[in-house]
Amino acid sequence: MDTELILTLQRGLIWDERVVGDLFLGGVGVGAFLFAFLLWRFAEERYLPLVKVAATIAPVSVAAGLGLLFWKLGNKLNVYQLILNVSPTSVMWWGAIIQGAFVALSALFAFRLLFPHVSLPRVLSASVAGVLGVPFAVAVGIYHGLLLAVLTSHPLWASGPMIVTSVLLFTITGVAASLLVYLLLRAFVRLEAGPSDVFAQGLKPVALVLIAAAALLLVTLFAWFVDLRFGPLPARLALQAMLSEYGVILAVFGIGFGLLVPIVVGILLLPRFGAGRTPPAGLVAIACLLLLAGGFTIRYAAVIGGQLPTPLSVMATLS
Amino acid sequence: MAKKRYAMVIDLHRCVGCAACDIACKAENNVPVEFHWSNHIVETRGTFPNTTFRYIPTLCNHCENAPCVTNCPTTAMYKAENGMTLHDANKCIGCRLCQLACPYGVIFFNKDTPHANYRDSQAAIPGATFSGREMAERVQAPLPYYNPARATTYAGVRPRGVVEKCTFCDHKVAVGEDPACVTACPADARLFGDLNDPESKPAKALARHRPRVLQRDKGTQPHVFYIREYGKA
Repeated sequence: MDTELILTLQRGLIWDERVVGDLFLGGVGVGAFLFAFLLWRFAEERYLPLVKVAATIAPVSVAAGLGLLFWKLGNKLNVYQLILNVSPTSVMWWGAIIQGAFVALSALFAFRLLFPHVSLPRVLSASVAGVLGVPFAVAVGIYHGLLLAVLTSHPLWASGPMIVTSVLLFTITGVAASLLVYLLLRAFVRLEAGPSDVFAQGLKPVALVLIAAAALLLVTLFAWFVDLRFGPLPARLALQAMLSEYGVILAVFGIGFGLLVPIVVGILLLPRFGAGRTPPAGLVAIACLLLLAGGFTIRYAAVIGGQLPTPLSVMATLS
Repeated sequence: MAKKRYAMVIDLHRCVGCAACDIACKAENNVPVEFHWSNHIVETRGTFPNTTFRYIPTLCNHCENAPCVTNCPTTAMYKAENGMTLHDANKCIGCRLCQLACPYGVIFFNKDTPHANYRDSQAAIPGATFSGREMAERVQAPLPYYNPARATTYAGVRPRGVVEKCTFCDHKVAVGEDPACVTACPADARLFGDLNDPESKPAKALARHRPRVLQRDKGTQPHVFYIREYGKA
């Protein structure tokens, strides 16, 4: 029997590419901060130029993302209402608070690394900013997944793998962006004195983390697919709608070029990340670029594809 | 005395699908033409001559567990003491999270300044009719059918950049009247009142008939209930 349903809804995307950009840049910033802090704290001093690049990316990237989100707001002049009104049940309210704190702390961390001779109170040291910034960075990373995952009206988002995906994406894109920007600066701008030609020596653990995170992301995306494919009818329909619109770009640019190719390149280059050896910078840069493009594609497919209209058969369910 | 818990019951056996509720809502609440605070789902099923037809009026469900309220970052969307889910346009930042959180599609966003047709200087029939702008200027109101009573509890016309939705006509309820859609229904298919009052019309109807709600599995606990079905007493 043929069934036809009619319901006039407001057309158009609710959250567009600017929100994708916010989530992507936020992830990059958080990952870059954690990368910078861990390198600064535990690696040798020769990595300081890379640390400074990563530390600078962090506040700039998150602030740029917030700028995109601000641009998206319909009533920008009312943004102060976020401070005047406490809304503890809202993930977005918490996100605004912790992102604000994170930008301040990561900016202080970067400033202290870039200008170590500027005299400031001890409480504003890089150590304090870094240690305080870590939990905020993790919280921001989780927030970016949770913001979508709490919206149960959108089955594509309301799943555990969405949060795990967000955490893995910030790990991957943050490190990839830091390495890529560092390599570009090294190639086109003279960085401060340092053994810049041995940037990757001893970075084997970083390469391993990147490969492992990318592989884990593949598994998480598969779990997300299975969760929806064998879930309730609305979840199956949402997955079907997303795949029909964005399945190709997700498979080709998000998974193929964005994860599989970098994983293969990373595994092939792994022996050359050891001490005393140097992997080809160009190849590392390309792998990083692919990871970034893949990360953006996955965010794009999830955010935009997750908003495809709910089938009317679901909306008209009376029980 | 127990707090009020306002709800609406829609009797699908009585509803004739005339959409008078939709029109009354627009006029009462100064709702832009393209928005539908009061809306309806039309379902046709089967192949002639074996066909069925279903008409489900929809509106904000004023959910007990309203996801729009839970997710609003500025508390612009809030639960009133009487159970209504209301919106404060002065606090709204236009993030549209409420729209995403609502599974019913009953929240609308003013992407542009609303009622554009009453700011248009072009006459429908040049030389013969007013333009929309002239019309609005002559009646000295944002739009010719502007209802100033709406502005007593909510923005009379919601500005660009904020969302808007059904308020159960809280301005009418505040003065002891029923919502406009209830008053306008020629078949008395809509019953409005306090669920905590066992003598209220909706409480009695729910006691007599098995209530249903839209998308129960979402766990929002709607305060708009549906009873009976067209063609089935």
